[in-house]
Amino acid sequence: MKALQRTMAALLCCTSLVGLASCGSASDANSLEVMTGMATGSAQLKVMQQLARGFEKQHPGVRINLLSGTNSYEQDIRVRLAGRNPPDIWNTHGWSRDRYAAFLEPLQNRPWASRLNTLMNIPMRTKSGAFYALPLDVAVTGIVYNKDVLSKAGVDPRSITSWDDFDKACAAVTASGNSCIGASGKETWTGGNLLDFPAPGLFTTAQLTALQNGTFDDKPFRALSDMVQRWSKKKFFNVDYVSATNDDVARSVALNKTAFVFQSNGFAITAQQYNPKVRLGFIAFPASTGSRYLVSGEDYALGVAKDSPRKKLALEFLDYIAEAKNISRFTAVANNASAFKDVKSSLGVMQSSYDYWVTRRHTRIIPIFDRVYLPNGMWSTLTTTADGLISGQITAPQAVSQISTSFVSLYRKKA
Amino acid sequence: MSVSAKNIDRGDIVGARQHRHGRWAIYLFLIIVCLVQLVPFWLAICQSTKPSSDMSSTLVPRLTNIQWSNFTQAVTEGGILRAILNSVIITLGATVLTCVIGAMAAYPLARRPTRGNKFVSSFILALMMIPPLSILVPLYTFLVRIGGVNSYWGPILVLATSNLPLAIFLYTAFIRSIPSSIDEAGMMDGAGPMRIFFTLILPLLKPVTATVVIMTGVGVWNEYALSSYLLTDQSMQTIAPRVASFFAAQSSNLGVGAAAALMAALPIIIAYMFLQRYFIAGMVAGAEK
Repeated sequence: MKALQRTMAALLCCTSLVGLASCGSASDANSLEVMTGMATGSAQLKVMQQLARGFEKQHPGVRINLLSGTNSYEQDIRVRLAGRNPPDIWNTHGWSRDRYAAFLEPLQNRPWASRLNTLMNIPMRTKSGAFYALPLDVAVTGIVYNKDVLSKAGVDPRSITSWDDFDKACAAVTASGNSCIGASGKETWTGGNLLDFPAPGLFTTAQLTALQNGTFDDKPFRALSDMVQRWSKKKFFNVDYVSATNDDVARSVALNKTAFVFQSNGFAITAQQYNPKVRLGFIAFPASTGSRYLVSGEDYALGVAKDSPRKKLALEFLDYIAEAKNISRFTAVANNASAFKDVKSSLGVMQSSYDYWVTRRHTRIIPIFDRVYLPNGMWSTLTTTADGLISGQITAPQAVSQISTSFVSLYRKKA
Repeated sequence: MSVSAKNIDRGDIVGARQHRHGRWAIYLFLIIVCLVQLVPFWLAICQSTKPSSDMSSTLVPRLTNIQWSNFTQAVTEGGILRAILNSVIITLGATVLTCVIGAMAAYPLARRPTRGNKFVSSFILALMMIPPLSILVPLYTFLVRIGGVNSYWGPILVLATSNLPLAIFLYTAFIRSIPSSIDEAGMMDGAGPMRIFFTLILPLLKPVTATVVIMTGVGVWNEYALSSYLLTDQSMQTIAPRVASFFAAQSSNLGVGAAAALMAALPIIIAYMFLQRYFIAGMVAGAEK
């Protein structure tokens, strides 16, 4: 009995000691906490680690604590903001202006601001020219394709100028035994892009303005929903859509089994992990209401918490990253357009497509649809609606009704 | 041999055959269940032995040129050994607190069935219905204020608290089955309530304590939802959030993630192999009185 009592007392003491021992682990004035949203061991995080070590060398006594991200990164940030404990610096993952601006320090007066590429103006600057995050790269996105799959189906990607052409290309790909469009039912954002990226090409300028003013127009959304439903009915999607992760989609593209994905150019990095020799490219989105276009959005970007007690140090770290020799190291692994005029874009396997569409053809580049024209919160509706359409759980009219209800409700909340 | 005896013999033979068939069916079922249980381990082994550029089937492991760097990366970049140590500390702390506080709280609730105590018991049971994530933001805010985030004691307190209602319920039910004449005998000898509890009652709680240890220990070891918010610093993270960090929205590292998951599962598998007898005894302890 005494032995039992002694054991329990010892364990309780250990527990208390462990608790007390960790009391002194609170962050100090020279320790910066950076939420990167990047996976442990990823090429992007490795570069960030190198940059952090470089900054620490220049600033003895300073410690940069880089936190890796998970699939729940967005929720992690929300909880930290709600708990009034934001990190000193965090990756704004596309939302520096539209979601996090109220929590971030404006950066337009930093010494590197004048070096920024005009590409980032569309997704990141406000009307007054303010911006709230240092863009590490800028996503310029079209429809990503696998050259070998299209070649086997006898499709020339540059001949796809309309959605009808896209349907024909898909029919040819499916007939050749491959999947036409890769999407993941487990990571529904991949489906959400199917309603998001093609949308601007179906709206007139007047309709887009009306949308911004809270007037919902059924017709373009009906056309969009009809299109996705048609693709689903014609079995253009990967057969394992429901169970597939985005990694499975990347693997399928890398294995030359899927022709198209609606994702940013960063997708190429994931596909190349499986097959470094995979031949990828992208084409501009077809449009029925104007010329063809590419979609531009904020990708990896770092913002500084405006209420951070270490704001000065955090801003100095951003200044250090923004130096041309440092930012170019990140651009090399981001597989996207450069955010700086004096840093060359490094799109790897996508470079020739970028040169063709952006440099040679000067294709118009427009912002990501939902971030500009839909109220905050609609992205979630788009992902669930697209998932319903692809898996055949809802029809196109039901999809429009779902989007409309959510739009009206969220717009009222916003107003 | 009489006719009836012959019939009985035949009946025995048929019964034995049916019994044998039934046993085979049970074995077959158990083998299938075992295989299903082993599938995730098999997939993890296959994945962790290959580089990500290996396009062979995910069901076939590599036998030559095994990608050992997945395991070394899990240790060096992923810090999985540190995560295992953190999990051990937090699991141990939360389990000990749950057992001690749970047993001490249950004793008066079981021994004094007053109206107030009945209300307290029902209230504690009602707490089991609250999903921990529904109070995430206020809980997180509170822990930030008291400095409990990225510490050991913060998650230990939170996880012990979330496991206490069930522990108190189990202990209360068990203590009620212990005759109160034991307490009376202690009182006759001049022992106070604390002495009676620690000297007479606590040693009798071993079976239910084993159940509580297993339920709390396994729950805390595998806990992800709360830990991912309360432990963001890599050096303080437990196994589940650390393994999850290999999979982000824009990039992931499947091979290293699988290697990390395998290494993290190893301590618990070894512990189970050596302590199997106690685990099983603990699992069935709740069913006996």
